[in-house]
Amino acid sequence: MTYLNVDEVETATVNLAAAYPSLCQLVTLPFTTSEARTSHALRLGPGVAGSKDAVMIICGVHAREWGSCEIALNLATDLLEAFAGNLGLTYGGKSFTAAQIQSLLNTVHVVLFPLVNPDGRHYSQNVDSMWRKNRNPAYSGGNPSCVGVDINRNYDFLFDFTTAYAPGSGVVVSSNPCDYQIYHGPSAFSEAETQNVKWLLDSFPRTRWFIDVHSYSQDMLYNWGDDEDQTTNAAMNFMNPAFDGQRGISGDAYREYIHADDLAVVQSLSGRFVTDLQAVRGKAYISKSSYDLYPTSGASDDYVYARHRADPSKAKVYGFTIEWGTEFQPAWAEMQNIIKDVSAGLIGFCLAAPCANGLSAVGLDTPTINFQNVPEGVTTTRAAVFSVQSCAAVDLNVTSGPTKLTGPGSFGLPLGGASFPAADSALERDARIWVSYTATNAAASATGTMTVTCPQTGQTFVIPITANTIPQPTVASCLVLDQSGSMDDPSGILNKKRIDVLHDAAPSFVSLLPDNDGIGVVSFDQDAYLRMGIMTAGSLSSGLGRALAGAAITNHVTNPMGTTSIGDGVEVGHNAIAAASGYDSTALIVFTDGEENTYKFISDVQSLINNRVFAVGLGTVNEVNPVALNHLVNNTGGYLLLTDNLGQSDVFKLQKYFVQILASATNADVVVDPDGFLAPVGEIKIPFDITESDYTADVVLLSPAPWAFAFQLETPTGTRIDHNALGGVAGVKFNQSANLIFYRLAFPVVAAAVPAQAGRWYIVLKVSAGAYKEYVTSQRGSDQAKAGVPYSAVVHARSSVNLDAHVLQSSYVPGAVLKLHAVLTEMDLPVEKRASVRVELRRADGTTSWIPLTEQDPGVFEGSVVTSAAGVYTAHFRAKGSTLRGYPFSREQLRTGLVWTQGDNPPPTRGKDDCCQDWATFLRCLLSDESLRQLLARNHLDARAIEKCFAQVCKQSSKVG
Amino acid sequence: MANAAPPPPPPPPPPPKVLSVKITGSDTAIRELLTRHPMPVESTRRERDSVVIEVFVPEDEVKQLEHPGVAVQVLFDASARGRERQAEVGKGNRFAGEQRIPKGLGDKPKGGPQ
Repeated sequence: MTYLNVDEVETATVNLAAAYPSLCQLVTLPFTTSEARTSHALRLGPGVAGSKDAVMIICGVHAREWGSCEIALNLATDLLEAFAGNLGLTYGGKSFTAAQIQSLLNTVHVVLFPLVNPDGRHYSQNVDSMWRKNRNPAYSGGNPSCVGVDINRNYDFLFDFTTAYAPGSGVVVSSNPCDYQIYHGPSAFSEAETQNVKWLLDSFPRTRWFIDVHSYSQDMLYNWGDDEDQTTNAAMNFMNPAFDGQRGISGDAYREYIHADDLAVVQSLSGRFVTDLQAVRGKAYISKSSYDLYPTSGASDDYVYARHRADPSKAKVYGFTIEWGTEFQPAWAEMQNIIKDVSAGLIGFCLAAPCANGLSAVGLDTPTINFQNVPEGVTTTRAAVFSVQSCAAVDLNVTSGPTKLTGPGSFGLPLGGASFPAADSALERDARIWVSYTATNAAASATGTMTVTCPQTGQTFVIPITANTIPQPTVASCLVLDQSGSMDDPSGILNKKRIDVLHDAAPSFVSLLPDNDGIGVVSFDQDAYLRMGIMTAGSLSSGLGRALAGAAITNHVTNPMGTTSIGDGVEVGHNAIAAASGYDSTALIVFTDGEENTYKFISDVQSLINNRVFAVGLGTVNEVNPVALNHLVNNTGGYLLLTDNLGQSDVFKLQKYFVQILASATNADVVVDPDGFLAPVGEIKIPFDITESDYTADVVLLSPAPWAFAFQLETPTGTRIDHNALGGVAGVKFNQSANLIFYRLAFPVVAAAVPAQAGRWYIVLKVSAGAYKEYVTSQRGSDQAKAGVPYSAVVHARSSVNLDAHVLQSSYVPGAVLKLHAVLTEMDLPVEKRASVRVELRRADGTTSWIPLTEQDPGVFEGSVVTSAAGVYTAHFRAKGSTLRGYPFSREQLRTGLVWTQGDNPPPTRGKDDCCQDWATFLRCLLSDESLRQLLARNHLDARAIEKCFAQVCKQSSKVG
Repeated sequence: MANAAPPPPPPPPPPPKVLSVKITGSDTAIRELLTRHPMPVESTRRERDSVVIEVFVPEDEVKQLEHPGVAVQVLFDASARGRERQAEVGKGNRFAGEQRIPKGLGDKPKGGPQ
C-alpha cells in the first residue's frame, strides 16, 4: 500500500459504509467543491444518528498533509473490524481490549470526515506537492497564481483579523488572494469545504469533541488559538469588542477566557492522546494550546469551541488540532508508523472523552407520558425515560408536578426523581421517573404536566401527560362440571358425597362474581351439555344471570352411568364462551373428580384451548390424571388445583379453591383467608390490611351456617360497619347465600362521615348462644360441631399490589424439585426490598413446613423443595410488605404440585371403549378413500351416515359406572 | 455570424519551488517578520533566548524573509522531496470493482490483549 489518491479515499469511504451497514453510516456532504467533487463522511457506531454524543474528526484540510486521510480511514477500518469481531486492537506497544473497543463505540459515535479538501489533495499529489489551499479560482481574477483559499483560515472565528488582533501580533493569516498559502477568503464560510464542515457539525448536534488532523510538529493542540488562555476574567473574550486590537500578543494583558473546567477537560484529553500515542513506539508529542507564540484566526478548533459562546443554542464542542509527524509527506514506511501512533492516540482520546468532564449528556427519550386505557379505579404507572451518559453523578429532580390540568383522576409521583452515582464509564444508562395515574371515571380523559430539571446540565424538561380511562374489564367465565357416576362417591367429609361438596363450593363462584362479568354452566359425563349459555351476572341481590347460574349448579346432578369425557366438556364450554360477546377476557373453570376415559379426550380438543383455563381436581393423583389436566391449563394463564383426599377438616377446601380461582379469573388478589371455629365466647377480630392501592375489596365469610354469625367490619379509625345498618354508609354492599356472606367495598368507604381506606381493618365475628345451639343441633350434636361454628374469612382486593405465584416442577415423579416462584408488583413496578414471601408447604405425607423465599431480582422471590412421597403438595404463598407510601399489605395464593410414580409416563387416557374407538378410526380411514365412497354412493349408501352411526355406537358402549 | 471562440486560458504557471526554511530570532523579531510577511508556521520551539520556527515558502519569497534580528537558513527543497513522494501515491483506484476496503494497521487479537 502507498498513499491513497483522491478517488481511493472516496471509494474506500463508501465501501466501508457498505461493508458495515449496521455500524457505519455514510454521510454525503451537500456542498460540492469548485472542481465538482462530492465528499463523504462516516458515522461509526451502533444506534441511530443523534442517539449518542459524538467525536468528530476531520482530515485532509491542507492539501499537502497527505497522511491525514490515511489516519482517518485506518481508524475507521480498525474500529469497525474490532468492534464487529469483538476483538482487541494493538498498535506497537499500545493495546486496547475488546471490551474497550466495545465500550468506545457503545458510548460515543465517531464522525469521520476523511478528506475535506479533495481538489487540493489532487493538485498536491499530481502537480504541486507543497500546495496547501483548496483550488477555488473565484477570487483569482483569472490569475492562475492566485487560486485557492486556506480552508483553516475560513471559519467564522475572529475572521476580521485586522480589527480583532493587535497590530504586529504576527497573526498567521492573509487577506491577499494571491498569498500562496494562507489567504482566508472573502468571508467566513465562503468555501464549500468549510460549509461542509459546518453542515456536518449542525447535522450532528451532539458533537462534543472536534479534532482537526494536520501536520506537522508532533503536537496536540487545544483551545485557544488567538491568544494565551486565562480562566479568571470571563468578560475578556473574543466576542467583546472592547478588546479589539489587543489580541494575539503573548505576555500582555489580553488573554482569551476559557472556563477553568473546560481548560481542565481539554488538557486532560490532550494529555490522554499524547500518552496513548507515546505508548506505541515512544514518540513524545506535546500537548499545548493552539496559541503557540503566534496567533491564528478563522481556524476550525477555535470556531467549534466558540460556537456555544456566540450562540447559546449550540452545544459546547471542545476543539483540538493534531499536528502529526515531522514533515508533510513522510516516506510511506514512516507514514504507516505515524498512522499507528495517531490511531492509538485517537482511540485513547475517544475512550477518555465521555468522562473527561464528568458529565456527557442527558436526553429525554419519552417526550410525552401516555396512560392508555386505564381501567376505572386502577392506579398504574408510566415512566419518563431519560438516557444519561455521564461519569459524574447525575440528578433528575421533579421541580413541578405531576400536575393535572384537565379531566378526572389524579397523577402521582410514587418514587420521586432519579439519580445516578458517579461511574467509571459513560456508557448510556436509562433513568426512569415513574408517574402514577389513578383512573376514576370511565370514558374520561385527563391531561397533566411534569417538569424535570437536571442541575448538573441545567436542562429543564417539560413533559406533557395524557390519560384516558375505560370501564373495568369484564370476564366471561364458564363452569365446566363433572357429573360422571363417581360424583356420587363419598367425599371424605362426613355425610357428603362429592356432588354435595361441589354443590357447596361452586355457588360461591357465582355469588361473588362482579356484576358485569358473565357466567355460563356446562355439565359433562361421556357427553357434554350446555346448562346455561354465558349471561351477565347482574346485581348481587337480583341479577338474572347470577340466579340462573345458581340454579344450573343446583340442577347439576350425578349421572350414575356416566363416564368422563373432559374433552367434550371443554369443547362445549369453549363454544359457549365463543358465542358470547362484549367481554374483555374469558376463563374456563373445569371441575372433575376422575380420570378421563371417554372420547373426546383433552388431547382431542387441545386446539380449542384459547381461554384461560383453571382446573380443579377432586381426588388424589391416582384418581385424577394431573398430566392431562396440566396440559389443559399450561400456558393459558390459569392453573391446576388438586384437593387430594378430603377429610373432616377440609370442609372449606373446595369452596376456597373456587373462591381463589374466581379472584384469579377476575384479576383480584387474595389478602387473607384464615379458618377457624367460633363458639359463643364473645367477639373475635380478624385483622386485614387495606392499602391505598386497593380500589375494591370483598370481605367474605364462608361457613356452612353463615346465619349463625354476627358479621361486622371495623375501619382503621374504629368505625363499625354492620350490614343491618348500612344507612349513611357509602361504598358498601352486602349479600348472602347458603354458604357465604360478604361485604363488597368500593374505596374509599365512608362510614360515620369519615372516609376509610388504607390501614388495618378488622372482621368482627360473634356467635350468639342461640345460634350456636341451633348449629350444634343441625349437626346432630357432633363433637366437631361443639367446637364451634366453622368459618373461613377471605378478603379479596382489586388492587395495584399484585402477587403472581407459580409452582414449577422439574418432573412429575417423586424426587422432582418444586420451584416456588412469586412475583410482587405495585403499579406494575417490582416491589423491591419492601416485602417478604414465605410458603407454607403441606407435603403429600401430611407434614407442613415454612419455606422462606429469597428475593432473586427486584420483586421476584424464589425457593425450592425436593419432593419425596407421591401425592399433592399444597403451596400456600404468603407475602407481606409495605406499599410505596408505607402502608402494610399482605397477599396470599394457593398452588399445588403433584408427583406420583407414573407421573412422567402416565398410562394413556383411554376408556374401555378403546377397541370401539380404534374401529371408528379405522372406519374413518377406510371411508376417506374416494373410490370406496363412490362405490358406496353408487349403491345408494351414505358414507357419512355410516361414520356417524358408528361413532354413536361407540359412545353408548363406553358408559361405565 | 458565429461568435468567435473565447481565447484559451493562459497556461498555468509551473508550481513554485518551495523551500523548507528555518528562522531563528527573538520572539519580537519573528513576530514582526510574521506581521510583515504572514506565513504558516509549521514548527515552533524555544532555544535559550531565541525562538526557532520552520516555515515553507516559495523560493522567490526567501529574500523577503530577511529581517533585522532573524537568521534565515534554507533547509531543503521541499518541492523536490514532494515530487519524490508523488511516486508513492496510488495509481488508479485500488478499492474499485469489488467493494474492497482498506486493511487496518492495528493487530486485532481475539478478546484483546491478555
